[in-house]
Amino acid sequence: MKQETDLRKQKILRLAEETRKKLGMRYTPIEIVKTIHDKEKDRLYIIVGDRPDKTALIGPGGLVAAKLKENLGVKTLTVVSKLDLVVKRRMIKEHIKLLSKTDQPNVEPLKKLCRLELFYPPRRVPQPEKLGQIFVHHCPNNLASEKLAKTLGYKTTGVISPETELNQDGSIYTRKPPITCGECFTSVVCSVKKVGGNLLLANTRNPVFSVEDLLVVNLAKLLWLTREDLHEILGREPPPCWARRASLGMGVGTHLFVRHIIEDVSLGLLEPNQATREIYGLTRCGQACKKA
Amino acid sequence: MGLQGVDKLVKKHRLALATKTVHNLLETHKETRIGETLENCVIPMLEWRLASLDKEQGDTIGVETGCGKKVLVACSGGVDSTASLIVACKAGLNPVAITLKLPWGGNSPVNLEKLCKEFGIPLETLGYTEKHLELFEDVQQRGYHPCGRCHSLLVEELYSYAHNVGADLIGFGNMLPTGTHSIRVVGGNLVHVNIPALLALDKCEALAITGFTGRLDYGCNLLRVIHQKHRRTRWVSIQRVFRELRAGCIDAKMAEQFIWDILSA
Repeated sequence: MKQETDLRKQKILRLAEETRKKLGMRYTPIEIVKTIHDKEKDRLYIIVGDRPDKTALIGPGGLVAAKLKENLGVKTLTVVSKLDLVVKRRMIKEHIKLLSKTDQPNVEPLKKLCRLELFYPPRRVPQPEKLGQIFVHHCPNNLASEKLAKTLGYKTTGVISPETELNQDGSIYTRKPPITCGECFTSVVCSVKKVGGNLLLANTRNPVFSVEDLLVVNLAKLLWLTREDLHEILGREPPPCWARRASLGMGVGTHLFVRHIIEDVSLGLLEPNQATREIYGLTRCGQACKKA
Repeated sequence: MGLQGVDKLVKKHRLALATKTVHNLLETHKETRIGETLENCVIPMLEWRLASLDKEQGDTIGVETGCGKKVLVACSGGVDSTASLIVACKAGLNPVAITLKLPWGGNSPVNLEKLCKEFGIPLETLGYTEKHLELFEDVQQRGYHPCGRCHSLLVEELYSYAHNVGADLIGFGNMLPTGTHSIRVVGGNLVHVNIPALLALDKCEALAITGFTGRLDYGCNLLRVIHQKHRRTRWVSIQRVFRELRAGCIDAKMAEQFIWDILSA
């Protein structure tokens, strides 16, 4: 097995070097830590030392990675930085400790999910069980969490803030008069408390915290999921940040959204190109709002 | 462990990668002039950094080696390159600061001449060439992002100077090419080291080393002109800021300031 991995590593290095040379790029050393082949999904994970190794292996516009994928004959190729995995694992371990401190009876499946995520890649999800009720804040950024909760076997109940409305396409919500993102959270908490709920999934800054008896969990942050991971779980591109702004209207401060994007990048949950696209969308949306 | 602990974890991982790369190079260039450069100049810097991370000493540097090698440090007068120069100086590498006068003038936060006098570092100033003037005209006409091409020109110029003076090591202030990419042999006996990347230094540490407390502006004069003239180039700059943020080289507050500076250009 080890021999097979070593051979694959050497092949990847050789192919990457050849492709980079053909593209007129200079030789650069690439640190490949290991390769994992997820046979079920025919997905090859290449774990590299750090981000510069990842950049070198993906190449400009993903050209090197595309060539590698073609030559290695795999359906999907994912390059992961070992350093990102080290940080992810450390943060998940911290989150498991936080979950252990709570006395909520139905957090055990979440802990189980966290423990399995420690072994990513590849991603494993526990077998669905018959679990209790969980409330989910309906928000574009919470769609993946809702899907994960359903996969675990929770009976999910969507909660919308009374001030928000469902758009016709069913994906985003409108608020009249405009509020800043996060403001609706207070009314969502009140609604859940009224019906006696004790577990709420929401898109909050902290991964785990309590509001009196109610435990609020941001599942995406709990599992340290990046935008790519959310894409994989949802099966489609998660709605961008500016969609939220568009949905919330003109009164919402662009500064706040820029800060959200910056925070996600600094945590390593959003890649620079995705963040730039979000900022671009945000400013376009701002201009459209001004014109309107 | 909070995010601060994670920060330390990231730095240690990067230092381990850099150390591994240096040892691999040492293995390849055993008993050669490059091997000596690595042993006398690069390893002491890495050892200092590892020790200071453990002791949480901040910017104090205690290694005085006196390497006996010709070390150049490319300095733009920015925080990163100035910090690299100070680190090389305090590590006993007796560096020579080398700066390039660019046609679009500088807007550096650090007074390089004053700093070199203070530390007793010789300063060499190179003039710009025809290629820089061509770039200056071309970039304004065609409206592409100038940083990549300008950096290539600069590196080419400095390599040529380093070869001419028989330098053993040339240090740059790049923060992003960490680990495996922080050091390389560039023909002849010259070793290229991205000092902040090799030592996993971030901008806050670089600021502490230089003692600069003012407001940092993003980019040079040319870049600011290009941002105004060709507004689509702002997105490339924003992505560059995000790259630095993602790699942990700058903090969120600094990134926000840079992004608003670029957007309001």
